[in-house]
Amino acid sequence: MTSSDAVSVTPTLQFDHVEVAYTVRGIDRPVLRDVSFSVMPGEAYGLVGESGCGKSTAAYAALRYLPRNGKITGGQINFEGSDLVSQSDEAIRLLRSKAMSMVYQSPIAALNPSLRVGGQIAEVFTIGGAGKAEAHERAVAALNKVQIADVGKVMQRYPHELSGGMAQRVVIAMALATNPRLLILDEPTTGLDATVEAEVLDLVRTLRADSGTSVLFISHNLGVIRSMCDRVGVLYAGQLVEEGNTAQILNDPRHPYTVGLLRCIPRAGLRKDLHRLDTIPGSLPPLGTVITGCVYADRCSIATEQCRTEQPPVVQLVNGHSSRCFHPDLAPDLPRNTEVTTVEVVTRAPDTEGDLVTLAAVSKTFGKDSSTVRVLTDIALSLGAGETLGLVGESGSGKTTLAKVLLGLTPPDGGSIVQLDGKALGATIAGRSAADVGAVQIVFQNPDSALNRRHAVRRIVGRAVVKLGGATKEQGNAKADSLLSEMRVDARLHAAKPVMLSGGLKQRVAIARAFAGNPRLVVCDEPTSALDVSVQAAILNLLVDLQRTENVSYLFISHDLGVVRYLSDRIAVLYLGRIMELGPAETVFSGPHHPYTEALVSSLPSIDGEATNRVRLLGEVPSVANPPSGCVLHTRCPRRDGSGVEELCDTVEPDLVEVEPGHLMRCHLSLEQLRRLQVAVDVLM
Amino acid sequence: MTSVVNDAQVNGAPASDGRMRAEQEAKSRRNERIRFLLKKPSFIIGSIISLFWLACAFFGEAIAPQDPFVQDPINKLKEPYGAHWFGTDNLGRDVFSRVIVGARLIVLVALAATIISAVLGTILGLVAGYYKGKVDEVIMRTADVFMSVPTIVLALLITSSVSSKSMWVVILIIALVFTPIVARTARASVLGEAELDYVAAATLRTEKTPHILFKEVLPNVLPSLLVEFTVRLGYAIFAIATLSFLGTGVSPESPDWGTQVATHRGFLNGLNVSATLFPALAIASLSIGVNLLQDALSEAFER
Amino acid sequence: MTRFLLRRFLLAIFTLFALSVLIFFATHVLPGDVAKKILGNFADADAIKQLNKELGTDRPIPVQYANWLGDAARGDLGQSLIYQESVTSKIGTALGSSWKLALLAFVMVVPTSIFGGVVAALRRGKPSDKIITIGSLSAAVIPEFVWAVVFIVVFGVRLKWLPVSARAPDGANVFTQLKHLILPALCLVMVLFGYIARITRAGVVEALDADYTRTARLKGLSNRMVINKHVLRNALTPTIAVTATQIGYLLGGLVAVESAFGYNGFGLLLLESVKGKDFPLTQACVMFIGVVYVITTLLADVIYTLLNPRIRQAVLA
Repeated sequence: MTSSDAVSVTPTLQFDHVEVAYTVRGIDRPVLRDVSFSVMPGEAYGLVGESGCGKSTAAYAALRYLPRNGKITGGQINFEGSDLVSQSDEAIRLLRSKAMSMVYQSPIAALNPSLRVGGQIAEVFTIGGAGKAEAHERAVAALNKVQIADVGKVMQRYPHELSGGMAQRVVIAMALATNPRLLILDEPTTGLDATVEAEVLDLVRTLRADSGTSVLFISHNLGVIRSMCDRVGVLYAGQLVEEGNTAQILNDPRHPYTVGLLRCIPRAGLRKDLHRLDTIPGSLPPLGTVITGCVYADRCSIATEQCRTEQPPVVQLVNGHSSRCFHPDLAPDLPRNTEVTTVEVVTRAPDTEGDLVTLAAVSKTFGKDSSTVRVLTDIALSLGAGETLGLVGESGSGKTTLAKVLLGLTPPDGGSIVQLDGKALGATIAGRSAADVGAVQIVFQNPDSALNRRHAVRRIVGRAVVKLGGATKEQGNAKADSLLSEMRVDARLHAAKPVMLSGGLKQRVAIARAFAGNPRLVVCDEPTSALDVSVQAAILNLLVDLQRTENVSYLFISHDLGVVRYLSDRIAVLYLGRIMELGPAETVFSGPHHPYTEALVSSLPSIDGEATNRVRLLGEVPSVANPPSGCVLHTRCPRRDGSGVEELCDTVEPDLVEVEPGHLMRCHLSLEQLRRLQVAVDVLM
Repeated sequence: MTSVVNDAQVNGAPASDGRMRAEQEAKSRRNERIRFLLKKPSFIIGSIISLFWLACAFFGEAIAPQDPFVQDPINKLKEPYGAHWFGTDNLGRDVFSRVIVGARLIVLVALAATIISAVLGTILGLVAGYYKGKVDEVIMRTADVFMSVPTIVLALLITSSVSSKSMWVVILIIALVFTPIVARTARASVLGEAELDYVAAATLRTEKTPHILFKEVLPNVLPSLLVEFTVRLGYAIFAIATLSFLGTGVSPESPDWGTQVATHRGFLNGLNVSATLFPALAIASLSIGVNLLQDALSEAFER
Repeated sequence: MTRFLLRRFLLAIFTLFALSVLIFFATHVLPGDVAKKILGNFADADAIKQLNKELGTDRPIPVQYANWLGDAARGDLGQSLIYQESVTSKIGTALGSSWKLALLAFVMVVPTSIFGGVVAALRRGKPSDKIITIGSLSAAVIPEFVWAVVFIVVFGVRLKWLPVSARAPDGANVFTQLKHLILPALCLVMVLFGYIARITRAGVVEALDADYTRTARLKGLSNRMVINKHVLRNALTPTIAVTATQIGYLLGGLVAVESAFGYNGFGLLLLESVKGKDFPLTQACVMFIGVVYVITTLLADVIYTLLNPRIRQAVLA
């Protein structure tokens, strides 16, 4: 799918009808099918797709580094015009040491745990023949380039002493140390907090502008791709289905898969009560499936007989935009799989003023005597029936601990008040009645961990019905069947063990279990973060439907601000165990908001374009064990300097006060002051 | 690569054949481990050897071609020949038949000791791993003590002070020594398991601890415990054979491999090899058989 | 650091203390009437009483234990009943010959097994890996005395390459002594090889699969550099710990090997003491093995900690 306008310049990286297969049990199973694309000098090219689409395989194939059972079975991979497949191992080694390098998904694991960081970077130079002192000096310079504050200290550190963001900087420094012509980034910010992700992406952008390195950027996140890449290729089942300028692809997609994918995303401006997310039916064909027609035909709502039997050609549209589809012109008007608007009758409006659940003065301290860590400080919240409260904050902010306190899995400190319907809830499960336990339930993040892999899903749900509802085993199983069917888990699968189910189905089982005891409040702890976008959309729709029919409240924890915004009525922002801001979702997002919220919001890469005024948090998250004096944010606050109240910020912790009706904030700056400072922020975000 | 059922049916896509496939997959998945094992040479060879000796242990007299107790002083210490495939021993008894019948003691004692230690060790390990804290500390420090001296030495120490040499004494000694070691393995697997959310989910439907331990956690750690069982069985055979050889094991009423080796090794220097070698090889074959089983099982369960 | 060492040291002391209680229990409480056990069921009641008095076993159990521990702490391990000699000197003499055997076995097994484990890992899945892995583990589960029989039959009786007795004639030179010790040492090697090789292989395989090894390769390092600098460095630390713990087990293996080859050393002494109901000697021998095990594992832990920055830092913090 090379663009025809690039004739005179040799591409830095060119995939030419590349086929890659993994040998599984003696059979070659195709992973990449006829993939062609080019990364031009100085260009940033994105490869995007859901898990299992082959994007990482493409990245490693470009370095000719495939797993032991993987091999390139066809086509050419050209680096600056010469084919990599036919080159000697030594030639490839030299290319890796000088011309191309990579940044990985888990930066801490990517560094050798028993070597100091400095030595690992210096090694890059010693391969090139530099002496020890020179290598050291150049390693220092490389670290300086990635904006690390105390380079001397970091050089002496071991990888486990670095934060994720810092480790990724080190890996980037290492990758760029030899000024490679090609830099491959494989999900470089997945698993990092949004604020850290934003910093890393900023850094890559800056360095790329300086060095002119070509970039192949692998991500599942369209927002990240949008903010980083000039052009993008969409991979599906090992095939490049659409390619073109990033903005073009995202604004005017011409392949049914891309169209469907974009409709699954809860973008800014969408709300659960007004806009239902679209879903993509079916699922990715399993690895190695033999496909005669279009790879997407099984899931495509405009597929014809031709699509199922014939390979579609690559259709060239305008400006290098191409789509591997028989009907690129029909794609934009692809019929939806779900209704545009949510359920016909809105039964009840959420009760945002109510007090189904009330938390007051909730604190939680771990450890005892000399070494105590206070992970929650003076949390006060209330939740009405049928309301969704979004809980956001970086990792370590206390989100999960707060959830555990609500559930009775972790008893809060003495003096904390946790009430359901105005009556105190026991601090632990042992102290709660079966009805109370059933009333507050959870959907865990990882269904693999949350579902006992030795039990059938019917038993998993049925046992909860029995224990929480006092039913017999038969009644429990019958109720489990009806609950599972309600969650649209096919009846034939009720006797299956979780391992048989896809991630989305497992999460449906987990939701069925949470609803077994007629819950009033369900804590959703990152329930979709392990799922692909298309599956996420179906799960979010299900949660919305259940809320309407059951009038249940959600405490929705997520690092994905887009999802939180879509689903929440109100949002609480947590930092170092404190609520920094609390208010209606739109108010919190549109601002004026707390400086911390502002940074969170502006770090969100959007598929709809860039926020114009980016605000970044400074430095690293302080340890919860040793929070800063005064306002806990003051060490990183983007609005402290020049606020006129610096002294106050550094010494006195502000109270959480109502700055406008229903909108609470913990900040010394006035709402007006914040409004003035934040006025430039893109309203889109 | 096992394919899984996907959201296909959820969204109402035509997936009837997908469902069929799912059901078949479910069945085949259940049998996958067994099929994997049946394809592994180490499993097949290990099973054949182990089952052979197990059969000998129970039906030795019926399998043995001759009466293992009939003495023939004229034909003593013969190397193998037509009538005696493994030759004869110092009293002219048929070595082949004595090897067959000799499986009984070692197999039964090893099995009994291993089963006892596996049951006790599993319970202790579950409790230690789940409750952590003081219970855990006590059990693990006890295990430390038992593991600070080799099994065989510990067994020697205890045999020295117990006058009875009955089978049950040896069984109890080996079981006692192995229990803390099994407990340690069980604890290690429980520790990881107890962190998983399904345990929290069980408490969130008011399950009691015994239910969580035995109905939720135990089924998940069973595979690693099965592997540990075969490991222990191997060590039990090792220890029991050695104790017999040293003359500190069960005083045998029936033939016993270790004792046979000990009795005849004096003849090795020129007089007779078979009466020593064949019982020794019997021990080796049983040990290897159990080890091959263990190797295959651990691979099947750790995949 | 010192705090960690102190804690680790106290734990070792505790283990030894608990072991001493266990040994005491086995030799003083389990037998019931100690003297009767020594002299036999039909012994004269007065003689039993007399012996119990001599041994101090007529006193209350805690007093006995305190006395025993106190004596042991002063280096007095008592008199051997069958040899009528001090236990300390008896053990000393036995160790004087056993150390050669143990050292030879250790020197033979450590480099070969580590090498074998590394080779198996680097050729993972290939026939040579299968042979090393399954072969060495099968060898490890076969009791030492069975190996002794096989070696004696093959190398001594059939091939007549090596002497079947471990005892060299008096005044033999080092080379002859060594020749006599090779078969017994080989029995110990067969059993130990598998453990060390397996741990080594597991460590190397884990390191080979680690993300940091991928990083090293994609940096453009040569295969040799990747293996030497990145893989082995991380892989061999656990091996050290396992190797050290095997020293204690080596002493246990001596019992069967020395018995099979008729070698007058520590193992045979322990066996004789057990058979002869020589409780003072038995408890001293077992305690000695425990002390060796605890000290070697303690050292292994310390070395492991020093080699592993992650643990070292955690300890320092």
